[in-house]
Formats: sequence, structure tokens, C-alpha cells
Amino acid sequence: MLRYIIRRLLYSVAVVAGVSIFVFVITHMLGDPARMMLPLEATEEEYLAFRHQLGLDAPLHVQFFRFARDAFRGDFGDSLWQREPAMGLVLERLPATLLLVAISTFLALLLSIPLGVLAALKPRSLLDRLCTVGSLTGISIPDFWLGVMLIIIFAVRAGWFYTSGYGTWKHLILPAITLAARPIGRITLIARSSMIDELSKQYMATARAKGLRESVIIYRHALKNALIPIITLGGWQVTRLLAGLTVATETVFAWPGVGLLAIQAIERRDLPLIQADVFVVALLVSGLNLFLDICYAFFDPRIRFE
Amino acid sequence: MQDGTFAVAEQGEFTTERRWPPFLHGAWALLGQLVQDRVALTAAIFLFIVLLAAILAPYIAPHDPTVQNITHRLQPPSWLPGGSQEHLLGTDQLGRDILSRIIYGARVSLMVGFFAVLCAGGVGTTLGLISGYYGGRIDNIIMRLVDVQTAFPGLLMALAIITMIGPSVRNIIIVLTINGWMVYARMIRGTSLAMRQSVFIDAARVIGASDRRIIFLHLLPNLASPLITLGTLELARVILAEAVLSFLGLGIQPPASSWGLMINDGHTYITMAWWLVTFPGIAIALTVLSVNLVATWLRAITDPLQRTLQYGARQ
Repeated sequence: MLRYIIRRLLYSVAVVAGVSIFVFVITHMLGDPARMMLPLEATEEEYLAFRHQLGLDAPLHVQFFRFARDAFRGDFGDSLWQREPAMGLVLERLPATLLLVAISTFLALLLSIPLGVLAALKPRSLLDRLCTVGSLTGISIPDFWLGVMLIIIFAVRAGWFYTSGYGTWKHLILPAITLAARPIGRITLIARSSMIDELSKQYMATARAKGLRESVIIYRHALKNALIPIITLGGWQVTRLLAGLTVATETVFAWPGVGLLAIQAIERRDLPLIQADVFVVALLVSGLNLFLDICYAFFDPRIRFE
Repeated sequence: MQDGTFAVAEQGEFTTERRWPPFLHGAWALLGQLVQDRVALTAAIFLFIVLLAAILAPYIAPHDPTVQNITHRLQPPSWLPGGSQEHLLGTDQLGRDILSRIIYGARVSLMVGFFAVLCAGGVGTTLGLISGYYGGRIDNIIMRLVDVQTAFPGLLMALAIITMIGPSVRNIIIVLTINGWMVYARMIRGTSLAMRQSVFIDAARVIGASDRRIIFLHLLPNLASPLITLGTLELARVILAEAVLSFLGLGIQPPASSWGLMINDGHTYITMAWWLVTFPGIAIALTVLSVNLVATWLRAITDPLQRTLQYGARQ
């Protein structure tokens, strides 16, 4: 187990290093950061001074060395927009995103597992068909559009919730539903198909032959086994949400999380802030992946020896 | 039909159990199967209409999508009081016809989708084939790259790249390619790794076929079916991704129009004109839903295991 954890940890370090290299390539080689951040009317002297101040006149490998050192310390410099350390700004916004993702995930699991099981118990029934088409619809609707429509119907027309902002549960409900739509669709589909898979296996016949009650067969035998792929997919969906799917939803609802911060930083061409934001999100995603993988290895010993 | 698939499985030709009949014959058989599935047929017909509308946009759009008419601005759809027959779905904040803009938007959304899938699929398939066929160190390098990139925050990276290289149709396709090639590489590698061991590859090698010949003439045709299914699924994802980028202002730029951009434009007017955002959103949702339905159907008919999961085991 320990060997597995160490190997997995090294892999996470490699991912974070890969992300840093990628961020460096994107921000230092795809364009001229100094030109991008300065206003258009800046003079040539100002430009050269700014370049020097940012250390952009040094050779590329020196720049990369400095970048890697600062990234290791979590120091990406001051945000040009807020005149504060970029890292602190990102960390300030983190709880809002985590709250939103947690509530959406809870909502998704609460709804989709019962739906998937019900559909699987009666394949080809009307309920099953509605479930499948409904899930595919949830996956197909653009989340930002769903958010706007929910605002029009429930905030502007009905006035039940606030259109945007952060603070009370009235702020939270609409963005959480918006963000949950896609995971609900995906998890319902996988819950349904893994339940169908389990129900068709031999041990179900054994359980029936023993004369167990139908509810015991379904919940204690089939569902317990079917939960493994469901939880795997659920975990993966959470990492996807953290990895950027919150950006559009946070923008629509002006939800002050790291996704909205990324868009604000991009609009203001605030390079240190963009770097810090991408880096923190990448760190979070690989941390969560690491945690999930260790959990799987704990519950399924076969994984450790792969 | 059911018996036929089992026969293939029993012959043990490939472990993947997916196979298309020879191509022309296959397309005809596919059409025959499509007619039997009402949901998939409806989706396919809808997609065909959208495709036709995109191609024929200049002939069927009732108005020029870029012509502004301030006196007609924010007109509601024709069936509401204040609406006119001239603008079926109403007009936007600059008096442009919404229906025409949706028809022209289909062009951009579908084109970006097709090319992004084509590029990502091309890159991913090539790397996957190399990885699966040669194995060893090159396989290791490519697969580590896939692993690392899958763990990346994809959309944030895409946004950062677009910020640096500037938004344009070409750049969006590039970014979506960088973002999407891994899925194909992983799938193709897995399947070709299994197939490399099979007898017909050995036979080809024995008669002296070159690596390139084996990869492109023997391996690739047998990967067509899973590849087409995956490509269709990815098309749905990519159309949504373009819509998100355009909505965030980092995708298609005005005066060109795309569905995502229309929602971005109309977003400011939601309190007075709901139709600005509603109709383009419905266009995206229905198109992506149709693509997903067709992909689900494709997967079900080409993969017996998936068919059981899709329709339930026969009792």
C-alpha cells in the first residue's frame, strides 16, 4: 500500500510540474506578456522598463528557472488589477467555489442514484425511456444557458431567488442546480447501466434461489456492487467541475469563486493572477485525484499491484 | 441480428467485439437499423435539417443576419403582441433578425465542431496507433503525456491559451484540438494493443507487409467503428465547448455570429427580452441532444455489450 501511495504521489508531482511547464509556455512563449499587460498608449521606454521589471529581458532558461522557483513557493507576483499578491486573491475565492461544487455534487448524487436504479429495474419501460432521454438532455444543455433561463424564470419573473451574488441560500440554489445538471445526467446513465449489469449476473439467481426478499436482493446485493462504477464516475465528475466547468456558471451568477476570478483576470490581462488561478486549480484537481486513487486502492486491492 | 453478433463473438476474431460490415453495404444496413429506432431516427433527421440549413443559409434565411434596423429593435416573436410576421423569432438589441442569425450561427457551430473533432481525432488516432503498435518506450512517453494532460484543468488552459494567441475560428479549433486528442489516443491504443496479437496481423507481417501498411490497411479499418462512435460523442462535447468559449467572449468574435455569442449578447437584456437568449440556447440544446442520441444509438448497434446495457437484457 505504502509503495502504491509513494508511486501515486510522484505521479501527482509530475502532473503539477507538467502544468507549470505548460503555464510557462503559454504565458511566456505564445506572446509578449509585457506588451499584453501594458496599455496601448505606453511608450517604448515604458515598455522596456516594464520588461526589465518583470525580468522578461533575461534568457528564456533563466526566466523558466525563476518561474519554477516562484511557483514552488506559490509566489506569482502581485496582481496588476488588485495590487495584492495574486496567490492570496485566489485563495480568498476558493471557499465559494468549493461550496458550490460540494452542494452540486450532493444534489446530483441524491437525485441520480435513485433515478438510475428505478430505470434499471424496469428496462424499456416508459420511466426508463424518460430517464434516458432526460439524462441525455441534462448532458446536452449548455450550463450557462440553463443558468440564464433559471434566472429569467425563477429570479426575474417569480422573484423566488436572487439573480446573482453570494451569501444566503437564496443565492446558492440556482447556481447549484445549474452546475448539477450535467453530473445528474451522467451519473443517472451510469447508475442505470451498472445496475442492469449487476442484475444480469449469476449471483442474482443464487440470491433469488435462496429465497431472499426482493428489496434485499436489489439494495444489499445489486446496488452495493453497482455503487463502485457510480462512485468512480462521481469522483471524476467532481474533478471536472473543479477543473473549469464552474467558470461559466460562476460568470452567469456573479458567484465570487476561482472560475469568475479567472475570467476577470483574463479580461484585465492580469498575467500573475491568471497563472496563480490556473496553478491553484491544477493543484486542487491533482490533490483530489490522488485522494480518490488512494481510496480505490484501499477498497480494491487489485489496483495496488497493477 | 442478435444471433449474428454472437456468431462474431464466438469466432473470436477480435477481442473488442465491434465490427462494421464492408463499408458500402454497411452504410445501407445502418440506415435500415436507423429506421427501426424512432428516437434515433428523429434525432438524425433533425441533424440533417440543421446541416442543410447551415449549408443553404444564404438561400433560406429570411434576412441578412448582420443588417441592423434600430427602429425594429427588441421586437418579440411573431405570436406575441407587438411581434410581426416579418421577424418570426423577433429581433435583437440592434434590430437584427434572430431566426436568420440562428441559421447562420449553425454554420459556425457545426464547422468548428467538425474541424475540431477531425483535428483532435487525427492527432489522437495517429499517436494512439503508434503507441499501441510499437509499444515500449514510445508508448510509455505518449501515455504519460495523455495521463498528465487529462489531469489538467482543460477549460482554464483553453482560456489562457486563447488570451495569449487571440480569439479566431482557427485558434478555437487549435485549442479544442489540444484539449481533446487524449480521448482518441487512449481508446485507439487500447484497442490496437489487443489487436496487435491477433492472427491477421501476424499473417500480414509474415507475407512481408511494412509497418505502415499494417497500421493503415489492417489496423485502422478495424478501428473505424469505435472511432466513429467516439467522434460523434466528442462532436457533442466540442459544440458545447465552442458555445462556452463564445459565451465568455473568447470564442467567435462579432460581426460573425455563433449560438454561444448570441446568448452572450442577449444576456444583458434578460429582464426585457427573454427571446434573445432562449432561441439560440434551444438551438444548441436540440443539436447537441440529437448528436448524443445518434452517438448512443451507434454505440448500441456496434457493441453487443453496450446494447445489453442500453436496452436491458432479454428476459
